[in-house]
Amino acid sequence: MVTETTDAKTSTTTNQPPKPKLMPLLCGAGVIVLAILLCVVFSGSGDITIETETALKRIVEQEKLSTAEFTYNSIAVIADEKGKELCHVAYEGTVKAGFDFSALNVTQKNKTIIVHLPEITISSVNVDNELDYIFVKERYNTEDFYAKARATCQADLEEKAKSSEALFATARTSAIDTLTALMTPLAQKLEKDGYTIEIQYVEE
Amino acid sequence: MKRLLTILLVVACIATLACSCKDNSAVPTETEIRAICELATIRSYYNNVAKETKEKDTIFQKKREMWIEYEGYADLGVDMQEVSMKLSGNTVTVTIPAAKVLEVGIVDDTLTEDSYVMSADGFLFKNKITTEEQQEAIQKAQAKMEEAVSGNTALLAQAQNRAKSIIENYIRQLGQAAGTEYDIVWKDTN
Repeated sequence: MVTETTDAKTSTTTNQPPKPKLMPLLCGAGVIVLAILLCVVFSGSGDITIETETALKRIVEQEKLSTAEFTYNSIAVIADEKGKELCHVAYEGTVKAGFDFSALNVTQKNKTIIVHLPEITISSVNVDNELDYIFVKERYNTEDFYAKARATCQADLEEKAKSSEALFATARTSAIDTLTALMTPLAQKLEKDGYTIEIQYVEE
Repeated sequence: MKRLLTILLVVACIATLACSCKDNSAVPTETEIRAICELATIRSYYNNVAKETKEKDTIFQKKREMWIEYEGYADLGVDMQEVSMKLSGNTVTVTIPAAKVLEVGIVDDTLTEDSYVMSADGFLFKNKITTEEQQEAIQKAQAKMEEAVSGNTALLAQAQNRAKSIIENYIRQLGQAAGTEYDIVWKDTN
């Protein structure tokens, strides 16, 4: 626009044509630029959060977001009805933890899209069939002991997994890493439009 | 009108100058990339039981069983010494090894008196489990756990991807500062 104006001025000096009315032209150009800017700013900006949320859920559903798996080998105590210790049982267990992707929530703050990661939940707890025993007294080792021991170990692991801070912290990190990796193309697309994506855990 | 044109010209010049004021010193370096790799380590926790059987030396003694429960961790990442970088024009070639287990350890305070379970000893003829034997049991359990984590390809891939992601972010940011869009080429050391 500056170049055109200079050209116009040059031609005025050499050929003496009628003086161009620059002010209305500039105003017109200004109005057009403003209109374009408004279109850019408001076009779909209200929908970007919903679009991002939908796209994210689609990505996550397709990938079935891998949940983190943990080795949880532990020892359970088996006692009788009166609470007297009968045996210690060592078991090998695995715990799977992840988050419910249907609860994924997206909000927007200016040009930042915030993905709120839902609470981490334990999806499965499994105790291996092979158990080791240390009986307080050998006579407690009865034929039907295995079934009782297996059930006790399963309940023990469920309880321990629920209260394991390390397990939840690792699951959280793993979920954030996985989500970041999954949404990289989406983040790059949004970045081109001037948006940035942040992942926040529900407690943050 | 002249004043308006002058203002427009000045604004245009300032904008052009501002855009051309790039940080030319902002180029990726191998040292920085190696430092980033150190930060990209993933720590994975696990719960484990170390087991040891102490055989009897005489027929009067009892065979003993000992278990020690503890919480451990494994740090996974790429060996930064094996990471290299070459800058050719706008192309950054980063050579990165596969992730591996860098360290395994025991979480502090998880080894307490309650962690130990031992089968009963003989009444007269003792078969004591020494402190050294207890430590040996833990070392064996840790080695076994390291082997298990080393075989977890999903976790190792996650660690390498994390390192790549952080390096890429670093290069992109430098590119933005320098007004250059770098192309990143990844090469495996294997």
